[in-house]
Amino acid sequence: MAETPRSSFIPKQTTTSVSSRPQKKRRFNILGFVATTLLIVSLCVAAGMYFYKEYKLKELAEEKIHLSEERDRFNDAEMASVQELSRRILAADYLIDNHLSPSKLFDTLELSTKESVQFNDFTFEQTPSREASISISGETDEFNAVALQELQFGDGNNIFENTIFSNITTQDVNTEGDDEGDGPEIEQVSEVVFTITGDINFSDLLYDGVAPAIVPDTVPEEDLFFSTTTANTATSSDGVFPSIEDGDLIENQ
Amino acid sequence: MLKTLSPIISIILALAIFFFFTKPMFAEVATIQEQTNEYSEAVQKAEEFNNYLQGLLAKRNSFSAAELERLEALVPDKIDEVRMLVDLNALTDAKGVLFGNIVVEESDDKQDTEGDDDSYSSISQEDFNSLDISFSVIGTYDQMKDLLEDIEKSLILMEVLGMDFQSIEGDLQQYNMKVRLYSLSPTF
Repeated sequence: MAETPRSSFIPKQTTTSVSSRPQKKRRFNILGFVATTLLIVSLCVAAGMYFYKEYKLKELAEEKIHLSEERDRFNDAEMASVQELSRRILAADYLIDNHLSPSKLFDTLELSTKESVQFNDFTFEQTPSREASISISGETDEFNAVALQELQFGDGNNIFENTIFSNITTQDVNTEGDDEGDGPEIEQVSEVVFTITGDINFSDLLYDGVAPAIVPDTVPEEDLFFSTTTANTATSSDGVFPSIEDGDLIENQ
Repeated sequence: MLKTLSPIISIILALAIFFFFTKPMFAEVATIQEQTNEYSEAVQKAEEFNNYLQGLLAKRNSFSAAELERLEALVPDKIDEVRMLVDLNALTDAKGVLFGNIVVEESDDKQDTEGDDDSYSSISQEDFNSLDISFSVIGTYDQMKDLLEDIEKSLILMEVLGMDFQSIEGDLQQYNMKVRLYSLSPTF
């Protein structure tokens, strides 16, 4: 049997020719990449940090200069003068706000003293603990007037507080009676003497440059179960404290 | 060999740069930043203070010389006893009352003002020196009241500490008064 040549499209020894060429295989070195990146980043951060530090140092130097400028603006003498003025104003405020006006006492007494009462001894005192007190001795010819006066001082409408009427006694005094031609006639009358002590509402006595509000005669007669005497404010002829004239009262109001 | 070592060297170098250069510098920058903030705050406060002081100075300069003089008369640094007595004498003369029985004494009783108004928490009687003047005047009741009102209104502040009198026959009576004068304590 004769051999027939075989034909094939498959080239012979193809594999040999391909494999004979040296193949260059490129491998991606991930470790190298990471290392390089790290190095570059590290260098960049270091450089950035260096410049940032320089910038911050410059900023600090500027702030120091600003502080120095502000320090130079400050003047000891100006400060001392302002301090001195401040303490003086503060002290003046304190003194004025605690300044008392004792003349208000007399205004109040003039308005609240009963017609038949005469005061003859007066003491006013300020104690170290910012308390003010008064002590007044008075006399009248009837007990009713003392009671009325007590009510007048104790009704809370005036500047007196905790008023105490004490040492109420009677005494006989000789007065000159009507002259009926044979020389002055001596009469013996009985007088009631008393002492009033009390505190003064400090805030009511503070100086405000304003006359005190007029305290009307607030004690009605009917409040006194034993009294039928008319109670009026004192007039200049009644005691040591002359009354304010009507015109003055209106002005003061 | 070198190819294998170079990434390792790079990593070591990167770490070395970070730990020996970047990190200490970062700490340094943080300190600088902290200092800058402190300085900045100090500058701001100094600026505020200086502006406030300038405002106060402007306010102070707005007072006239006469006003400052009046304030100084109201709260002097020192009480001039002689001048005060001369002034009191002039005052009583103007009211037509007789002036006498003068006693001048340094006061040592300080008023206790603890618990008072909070607006005066920084000030008390301890901050003042005081001088007490006791005197008597002889005149009518109206003259005494006028005098008392003038004393109350006096620019050189006189605090009436006490007063007493007894009524006697006639218009003229003797009124005893005690007034206190204040000056600023040097320690205030």
